[in-house]
Amino acid sequence: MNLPPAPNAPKATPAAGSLAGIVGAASGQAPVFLLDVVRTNGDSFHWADAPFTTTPVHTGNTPAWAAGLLNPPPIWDNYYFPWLMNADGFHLYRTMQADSATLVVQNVTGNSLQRDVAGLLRGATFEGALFAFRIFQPESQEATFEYHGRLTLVSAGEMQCQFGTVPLFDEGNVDANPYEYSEMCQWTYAHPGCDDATNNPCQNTYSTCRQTNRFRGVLNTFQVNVGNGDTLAQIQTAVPNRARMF
Amino acid sequence: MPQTDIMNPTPHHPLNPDYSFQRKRPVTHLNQKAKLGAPYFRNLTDVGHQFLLNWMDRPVEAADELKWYYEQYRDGYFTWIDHEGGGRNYVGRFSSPVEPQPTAHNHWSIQMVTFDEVPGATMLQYPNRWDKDAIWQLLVSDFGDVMVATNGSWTLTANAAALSKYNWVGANTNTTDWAAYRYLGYGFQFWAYTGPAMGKANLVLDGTVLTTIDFYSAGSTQRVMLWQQLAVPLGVHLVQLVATNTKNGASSANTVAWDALKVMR
Repeated sequence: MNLPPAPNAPKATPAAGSLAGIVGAASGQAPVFLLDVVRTNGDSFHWADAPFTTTPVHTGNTPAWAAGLLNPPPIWDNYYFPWLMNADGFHLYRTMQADSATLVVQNVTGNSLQRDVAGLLRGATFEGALFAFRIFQPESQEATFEYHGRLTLVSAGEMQCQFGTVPLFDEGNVDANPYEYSEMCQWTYAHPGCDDATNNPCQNTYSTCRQTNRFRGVLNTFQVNVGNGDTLAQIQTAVPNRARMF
Repeated sequence: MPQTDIMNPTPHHPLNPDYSFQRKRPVTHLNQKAKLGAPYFRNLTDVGHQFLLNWMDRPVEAADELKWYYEQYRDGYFTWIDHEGGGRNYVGRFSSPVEPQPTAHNHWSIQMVTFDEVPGATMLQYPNRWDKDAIWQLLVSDFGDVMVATNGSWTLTANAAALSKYNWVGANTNTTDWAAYRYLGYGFQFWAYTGPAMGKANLVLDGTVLTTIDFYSAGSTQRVMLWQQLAVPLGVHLVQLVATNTKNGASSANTVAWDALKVMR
């Protein structure tokens, strides 16, 4: 026979899926989606799926657009306009891998001639804007989820504007040299950059190069060719045992 | 002049539809709303009124005539009068086919024919029941959104006596400043206040100057209808108040103002 717990016994956490668990999860205030955006010109925007006031993650300049508001927020960066229609697709992988999440903002408000968001998009770009998205618990005033990244504009329709997200470190946006730094020539033999027409492939080294004025490698003054009598080599003369670069 | 072709010119005309018929106003706007907070609204299209009409047990002549109206104006419009609705005119066409069915000897029934109002069509008689069919389009929506766009030197000034509780006040010191409102409907009335220090501005509808409004009056008066434009076809229209940098000779300043529009729907 199972006895009921003593009146002062600690309560067990309701099991997931149990009626007590479901009721407990559904009670209280629903969490709020908060989105802080600072675009590259320094303007800040704060959007949520409910009118909300709290401390922001990012702050910035009050956009010129706000001057047209009849009742602007007393502290621009603390008030979240209820413009965020949806936010989903945030997946974490414990690696640098990241999915592009979707942030949907309404594009309906504005005066009778122009939509607010359309005007903001036209005024300055949101491409690359820094953002912080939070799932915020109003009762505890804490974020249970926080995600930082940069925005990219996916679409701007007559009803909604959709932003995608890009990680803060996005290799695709990092400019890098198209070639490696190497003492080996980077041209493929007889490539127009090489332009050798003797039909006799080289070893991609300076010493085997027949078009030295076109040699595309980094010459060094550090290597001494052992056994060749040189005290300071200007170029590499030994053929390195490396894979060719084509 | 297809609007002069009136299908049912009198209340007892044989082509008046049977009771009951449905008068609809299809949705012409967008609605958006976040999880919490006020809804957002924006007019999008200029679809007009729509009627679902029935004619039961009519002679073949009536059936033929209705069919003719459908065939003749499939790519045009004619006038239909809602005699039950106060005699208001509508210009449009049957957008669903007229398909008479014989129900007895010389008895034909035509059911569920849709009459769609056509935007942009000239009307024989424009709607004019300002007290019943017209709506106020104020400077500020009930949710606090400023609805009139401005260019140049304009100031939104609180005014408890104004219809909008605010006025857009323009300095009117050049000829390029403007305030503008885009509305859906037919004609409109322009309302503002007048006073001894008020100037003149052009009232422009869809790029055409309707009149030059003189805001001057010896005493200050609120809520004055300064212009009424009745003959405007159904559509989305742009009303502009454009600065002229002029004033009445008796006035002491150029200032102009905008309080509200009353728009026929």
